[in-house]
Amino acid sequence: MDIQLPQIIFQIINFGVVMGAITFLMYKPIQKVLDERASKIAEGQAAADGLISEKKNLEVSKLKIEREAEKKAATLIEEAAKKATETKKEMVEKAKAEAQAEIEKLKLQWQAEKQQMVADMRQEMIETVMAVSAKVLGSKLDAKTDAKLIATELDKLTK
Amino acid sequence: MVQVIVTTARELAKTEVTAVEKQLLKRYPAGVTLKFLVQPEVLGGIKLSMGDEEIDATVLASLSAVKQQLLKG
Repeated sequence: MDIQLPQIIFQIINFGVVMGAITFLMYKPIQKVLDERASKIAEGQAAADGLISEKKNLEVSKLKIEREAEKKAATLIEEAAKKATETKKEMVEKAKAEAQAEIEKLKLQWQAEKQQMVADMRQEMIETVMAVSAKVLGSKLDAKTDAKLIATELDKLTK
Repeated sequence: MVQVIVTTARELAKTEVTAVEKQLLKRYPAGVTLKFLVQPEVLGGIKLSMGDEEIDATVLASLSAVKQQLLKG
């Protein structure tokens, strides 16, 4: 087997040309595409990291807002309970005052009725006594006594 | 002349009428005209009405006065 130097040189040149062509036509565009892809991936990763960070921030904010809301709700409930207690107390006091006023009114009314009843009884008693007295006097007053009475009154008339 | 209405519980005797007239003439010397009314409800005594003036000395008036006093007290 003979080694032919020109053939080897030709093959070496041929290989170099093919390598150069491949490098120029294939390697660089592929490298460019790969670089672009890597860049996009890095951008995506950065965006994802940003979103994750934003999500964490949002969760922290959410928790903070929830705690504040819970705190505020607790304060509102406490205030409402306090107000309800005060209102209840006021209502009870008002009801007591109204009941007391009603009792006083009824007492006064009862006293007035009692006084009126006593006055009516007194008047009735006096009327009865007077009627009886008139009857007794009418039956007991004879003409002689009446004459004396008239004479006495006539004497008073001229004095 | 003064007109006097004399009210009594019974009809007055003539002597009593004269006495009434005599007493009234002492008070009204110009003369009096008497009109007699009998009202048993006055019970006794005498009531003299002379125009606006009235002297009520009946038993009924006394009882009414007592009654008024009792009602006031």
